[in-house]
Order: sequence, then structure tokens, then C-alpha cells
Amino acid sequence: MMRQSGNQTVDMMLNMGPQHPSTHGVFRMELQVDGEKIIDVKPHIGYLHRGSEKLSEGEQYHQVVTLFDRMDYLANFNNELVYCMAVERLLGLELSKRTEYIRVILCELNRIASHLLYVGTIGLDAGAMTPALFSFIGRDRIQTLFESISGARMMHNYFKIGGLKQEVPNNFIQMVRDILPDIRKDVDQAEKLLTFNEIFLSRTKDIGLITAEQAIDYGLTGPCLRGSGVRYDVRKSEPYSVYQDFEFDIPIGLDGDCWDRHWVRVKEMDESLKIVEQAINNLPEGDIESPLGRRLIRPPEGEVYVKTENPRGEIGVYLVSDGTDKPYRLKVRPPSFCNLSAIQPLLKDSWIADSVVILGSLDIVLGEVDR
Amino acid sequence: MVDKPDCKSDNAELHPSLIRLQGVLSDKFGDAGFSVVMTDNIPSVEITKEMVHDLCVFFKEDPFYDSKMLSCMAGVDYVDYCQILYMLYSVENNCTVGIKCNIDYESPMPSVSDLWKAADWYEREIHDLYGIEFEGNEDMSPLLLYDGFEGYPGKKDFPFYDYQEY
Repeated sequence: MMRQSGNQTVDMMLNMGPQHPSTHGVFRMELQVDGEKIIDVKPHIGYLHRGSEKLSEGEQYHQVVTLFDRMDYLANFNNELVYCMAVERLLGLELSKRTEYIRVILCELNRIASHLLYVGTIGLDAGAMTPALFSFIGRDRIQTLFESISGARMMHNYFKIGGLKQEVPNNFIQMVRDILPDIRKDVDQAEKLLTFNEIFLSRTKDIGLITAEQAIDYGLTGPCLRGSGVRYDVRKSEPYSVYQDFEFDIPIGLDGDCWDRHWVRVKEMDESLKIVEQAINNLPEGDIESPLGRRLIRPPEGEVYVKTENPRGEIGVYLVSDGTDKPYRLKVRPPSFCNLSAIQPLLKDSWIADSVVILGSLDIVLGEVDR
Repeated sequence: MVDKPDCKSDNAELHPSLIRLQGVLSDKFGDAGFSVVMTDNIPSVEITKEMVHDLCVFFKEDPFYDSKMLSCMAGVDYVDYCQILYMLYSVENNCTVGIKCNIDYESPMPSVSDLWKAADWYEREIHDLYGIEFEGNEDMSPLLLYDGFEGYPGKKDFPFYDYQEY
């Protein structure tokens, strides 16, 4: 793959991945480099393609929740939520306030856990080892809470269509109140170590620029779009569940570089903490059992398109039902898939050393890209 | 054989957003060749594939729909035919509009990757899973599947639990 270009230098093809620690999973990039400069990039995905969409056509409705757990494995609750919401919309179910509040609390805590992991990995990508150690302490606190609620640290399978699998523990409110100050401390610590660190700033500022128009054109959502200065968040633009009850801001960046995307995520953790605080203070009493009981779910014929805000962006579910107990077609619009598709313009004309940081700032989860 | 779920029966009287959509499209394209339906709560247009590109250009440039983002693109196998669904979204106006196009498997679809960069990967994914060609998309190499994979796993007649030697 070598070719001679005009100015006597030789372009080289460099394979990055699929087994590379900084690709955050199995992802391969074919970099065409001229010295240290990337002149073209060809991304290869699909190493983790398990056919979740196809498999869900063969499972009953309540079984599909487990498949959604395994798509974005860093934000399990958020993924379960979007699927449950889609089926509930098909069924026309009204949920109790308590169910909705518990779901929002868990989703926002999961968002913090996911962003904390991001802070750790972007630190590793930029060459800082310590933030990862600190951010995992915070993530572990949240996962321990999840374990006491759902019985699993990841892959919870806790949201059920129409309700929750089981009632939360008696001391749930106290448990959440207890860990909130600790998480706030962890978030601050991670931020102090990284965000305004001079080395980190020089590694991320003005690196991986993407304009707002370009970002929208590529379908970027979530922190990647907000980093470019677009105030778009599904929680605000089309409030779902009970998000209209809470007061929170949507942080945005200015330039659309790696640091702005990082900044947006760090600030989002503060906003999520605000939401959790409000929700836990106003947690209503009520029933969390599904009105459907343990019956087999057969939604009426129809189709829905539901979207929610994942830690990584807008996740959409297009669900077609033919009236049987299995989905006829289930299409997921994965945020990481679209975010990753912008890798080509982001990496073009950047240095090889920066490619790792740029990829890290997109915060992809390959389980969701490939499904 | 499964019939396509019917969305029209629920909308005996047209939704206000559908009336607006119908009016705007009639002015632009005349009366023939399209029908408006609700997809859940999203106003959508059902059209033939010849009109897809023109309609996408229209939605992208119209100040009301202003569809600068291609939010989702899905293929659905209805055994006899395939339906391609486009979800267009305007970040400015917070407005979603859908396009549905029924095609048969043999004939190629016009690509919209010249309008939205996001369409590139969506189209390649649909090509992988349903085997539909997109005319105008330069790179149609497999995205999610490996080179040389046989069959189209999105289709209904593809077996669930089967494996191929790689």
C-alpha cells in the first residue's frame, strides 16, 4: 500500500486496532499517513455485530430488555428506559409517578457513572493515569448502589414493561442521599485533576474541531453536538418520562474541540446530580408493579418512534408491532454509531498522536455501534 | 404472511400537522404520488422512490421543516416489499418529519448521502442487512458484516440460529 507522492515523501498505511487499548473496544482504523500526519482514514466497524435487532425479532417483548442492556453496556438503565418507553407507548400504558421517578434517578446516576468512566479513559488517552483511578472510585459507588437495587452491577434487567422488576430497598432514599456528596466529591476531584490541567489543555484544546453545521450533517448528538455549541438535548426539546418536573441546564461548548466535549460531559454530571437531588426529595409513594402483571405482552398493531437522551446522545427506537408477542421489527438509532461516522473529517489532517484523544473524546461504545 | 400494520385507521380525522404537510406538498408536487400518514405522533409521507430525493431536498430547504439532521434511517422487511424509513429532524424548529418509501428488493434506491453525510453509514447498514443498492453512494462495502458474508440477515427468511464458517 505504499505510493510515491509529489514531494518525495512516502505515504504509509497504518492499521490501528482492532485490538488496541485506545479504540475502546474492537474497532479498526486504516490510517493513511504522511510522516506523522494523517491524510486519510477508513474506519472499520462490525467486529462486535451480534445482530441484536434481528435477535429481538425472535424474542418476546419482555425478553428484549436484556438485549438492550448489552448494547450500550456503560449506560444500561438508559437503554432499558428507551425500549420500555417504546413498548409502553404501543400499549398506551400510563405509569405511576413513583416508577417514573425511580427510573429517572437510576438513569441520571447511570449517566454520571458513564461520564465518570469517560473522564478516566480520556485521561488515559491523553497520558494521565491518575484520573482513571479516582473516577473508578465514584463509578464503583454508583454500581454498588445499583447492585443493592437490581442485584447486578451491570446488565441490570431491572426496568420492566409497565413498571419495575421489584420494589427498591426500604432505605433507598437514604442510600442515594448518602452517596450524593461522595459522588460530588469524586466528580470535583476528577475535574480538578484533568479539566484545567495544562498538559491536558494543550492535548485537547483546538484538537478535533467540528463545526455545528458539520456536526448536525453527520447526525452527531449528545455531548459531541453540544460541544459544538448547539443546545440540543432530548430531555429539554421533547421532555419524556418526568423530566419536565426538574430544573436543570444544558451545558454547551464554544468551539467544538475535544476539550469542549470534555467540558460538556463534566458539567453534565453536575446537572445530573441536581436532577437526582430533586427527584429523591420529591419521590412519591405509589405502586411500581406493572398494571399488566405477569401476562404475556401483545401490543396492538402499530409503529412507534421513541427517542431519549443517552449519555452518548439521542437514542431512538423504531418499533413495529404486528399484534403478536414478538416485535415485528425493532430498529435502534444508536448515538455512538452516528458519532463515530464523523471520525473521518475529525481525523483528517491531524497528527497520529491526536487521533487517540479525538477518538476518546467521541466516547463511543462499540457494543452500541455494532449492535 | 404478515400484513403491514395499518396506521390510517386510527386517524379518521386528519391531525393538524398532517393537514399542513399535505397542503405544503400539494403546492409543491401536485396531488399525485404521495399520501400522508401519522407514524405514532410523527407526520409522515408515503411516496414512491422516484420522489425520495426531491422530497428530501424540499424538506431540507423548507424553512418550516428545516430538516438539517437525518435522525434515523431504517429498513423494514414486509416480505413482499421493503420499506425504507427516513426520520428527518430540525434542531432549530424542534420538528420531526418522516418519509416512508416502499420498494421491491431488486431495484436500487436513490441515495441521499449527498444531502446528509449521516446517510452514508445508514445506507451501508441497510445494504448489509437487506441487500438494497443505493444509487449514488460511492462506497457500498460491507459495514457491519464481513466481506463475503452470504445472505441478508435483516430479512425475515434469514434463520435466527445458524452460523457460517468464516
